[in-house]
Amino acid sequence: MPALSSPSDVAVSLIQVAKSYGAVEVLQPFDLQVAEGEFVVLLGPSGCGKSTILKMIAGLEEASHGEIHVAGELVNYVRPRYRNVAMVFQNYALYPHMTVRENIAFPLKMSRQPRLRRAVIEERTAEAADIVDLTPYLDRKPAQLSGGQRQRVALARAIVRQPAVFLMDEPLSNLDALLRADMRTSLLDVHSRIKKATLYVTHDQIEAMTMADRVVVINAGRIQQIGQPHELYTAPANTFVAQFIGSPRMPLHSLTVSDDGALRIADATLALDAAVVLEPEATVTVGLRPSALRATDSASACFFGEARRRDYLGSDSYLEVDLGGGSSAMVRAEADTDVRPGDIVHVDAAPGAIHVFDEAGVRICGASVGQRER
Amino acid sequence: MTDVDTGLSSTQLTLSPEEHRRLRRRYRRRTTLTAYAFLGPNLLAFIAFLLIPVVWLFVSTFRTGGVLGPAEFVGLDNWRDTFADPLARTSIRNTVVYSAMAIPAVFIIAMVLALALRTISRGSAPIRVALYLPTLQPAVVAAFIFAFVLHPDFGVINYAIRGLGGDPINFLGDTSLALPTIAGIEVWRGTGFWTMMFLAGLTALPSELYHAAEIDGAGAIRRFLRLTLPLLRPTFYFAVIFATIVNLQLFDSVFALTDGGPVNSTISVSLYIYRSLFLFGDIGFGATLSFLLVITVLVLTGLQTFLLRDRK
Repeated sequence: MPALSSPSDVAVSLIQVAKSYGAVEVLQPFDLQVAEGEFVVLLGPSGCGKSTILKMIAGLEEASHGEIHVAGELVNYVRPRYRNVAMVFQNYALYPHMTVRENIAFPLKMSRQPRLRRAVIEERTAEAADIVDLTPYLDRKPAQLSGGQRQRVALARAIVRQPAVFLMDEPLSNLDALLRADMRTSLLDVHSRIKKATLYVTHDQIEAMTMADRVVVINAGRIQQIGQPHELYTAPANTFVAQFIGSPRMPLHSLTVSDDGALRIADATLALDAAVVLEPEATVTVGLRPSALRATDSASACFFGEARRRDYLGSDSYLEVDLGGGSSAMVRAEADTDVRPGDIVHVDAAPGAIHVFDEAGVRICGASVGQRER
Repeated sequence: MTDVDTGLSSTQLTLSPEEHRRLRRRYRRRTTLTAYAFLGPNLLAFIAFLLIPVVWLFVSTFRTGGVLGPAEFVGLDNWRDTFADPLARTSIRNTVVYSAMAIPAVFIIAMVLALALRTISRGSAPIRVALYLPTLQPAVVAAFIFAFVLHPDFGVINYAIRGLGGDPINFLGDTSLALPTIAGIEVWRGTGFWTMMFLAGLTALPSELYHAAEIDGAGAIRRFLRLTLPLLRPTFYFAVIFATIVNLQLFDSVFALTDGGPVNSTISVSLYIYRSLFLFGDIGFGATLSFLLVITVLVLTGLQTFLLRDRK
């Protein structure tokens, strides 16, 4: 993560920004700083308010509360065209009656600053088209392009303005899976070439994990966690993040702390990573990260239980294992494992496999299996 | 190359290619016949009520009489009479001048209103209703309303003019004012309709394009000129053609307000056709004028289609 050493390094700064429509609060007040050159992904389910954040930065929506700074300047009361931001939309938003060249040049022709000479416009258009590999298509209309090419036109139109900040609103979600993976790489290539702060909205955790310097996880208008991808994965702030990040989804179990303050799952006692004392009789939630649990032959493993289902994924298989006492886990196994439903499986838990949350779902600490009662 | 089992084993076709061709032909024929069966009734009505009358009209342009006495073939006499008749020329000129005033005026006013209505987020419904009400008036009712509004002695407008110390204006009695006045009344009646039409077109344009243009730095006027106008081409295409057809048929408001006067300054082609056919019983002359109107509409429509075509 680029360090935020001085205010001049900050490309976008949101201070106590909130949004509501009448009485409906769609975004609770939050702070967010994006450094120069940083790639920040806003991740969350549909309707969580992530696109609203982009629109507020772009000036397409008004913030109900708080301050928005772009490149050190307060922009709350600045019209979109003067905010020095460029936006890429999910549906590309290309002008259908203009050629690729005209689409890319449009922001330059609209520019109010000392009118750009035609030669400059042509040069910068060609340059932007080159960055996204569109040079052979400059004279086509958007309707004659594929989805991926259209999205590249939209990207070139954003690049050509040389903005302080790029805003991307689910730019890849209209593309098929293969093309999306390709475009992800090209986007990152472009980003590393122009090194501009980028805010990228998606609901796809794979996009978020692979592209982001930092991820902002949002749910129901509330920021859940801001962190680097591995932080979200290894130390999710709450049960929402724990379940939203990672595939298969992390199963959660509600457990009661025993009288002696110990926490047991099936016949294993958990040792907490931090010096935390749990109240006896308290209810906590425990999550078991599927990718950190492994089916093993060793009888000294952490858990064991009966396999109920097997999901074949090509590279691995996942087994749903009943640990007893109402708890179950998704456990990773070799792709060609010969375990069948009904077999007994031993399960090893790697560090980072077990997460303990309080009753409200906020993370308390990680845990490992301390001892097992036979 | 290694043998890979793709899971797609090949099996024999059950029918011969010849049989496939036969069945495909039958299948397509049935589909086509079904389509014609549904089109049939409409096609019959088109032939009975449009094609035959137009052909009959064309034949009538070479004949005279035919209502009370037998029809008589007169060659090109009707055509010569029509082109020689100064009143026919006046009616054509009036209709064209009227259309040239009314169509651009109603389009500009309706577009401005539609753009304004689109930006209003709350309370636009009553405004839309108020705008549309004039369109719901039959021309005769509108004429009745405006007879009171425009009357030289007790009309509201002249009352106001007199109040301000001016001389009353005889809007419908002045040869140079009557036609523009009728155009104005028709614009008043048409504004609601065209506003709704343009508003519908505007609403259908994707808002993301406008967001993009706003961020790209295009101001309101340039957004209108470079996005809205080109994107609304299909709406305009319909609007221009439809408005031309409707306005060239100008009849009812002239009939109700001035009956073509004063001194034939408002006589329209349709009104003249009506008089020839129903007042003077001159079938051949009326038919020729009607046919001219049909041809004019067709030519103009063709020309507009050509000019407004989507250049790919």
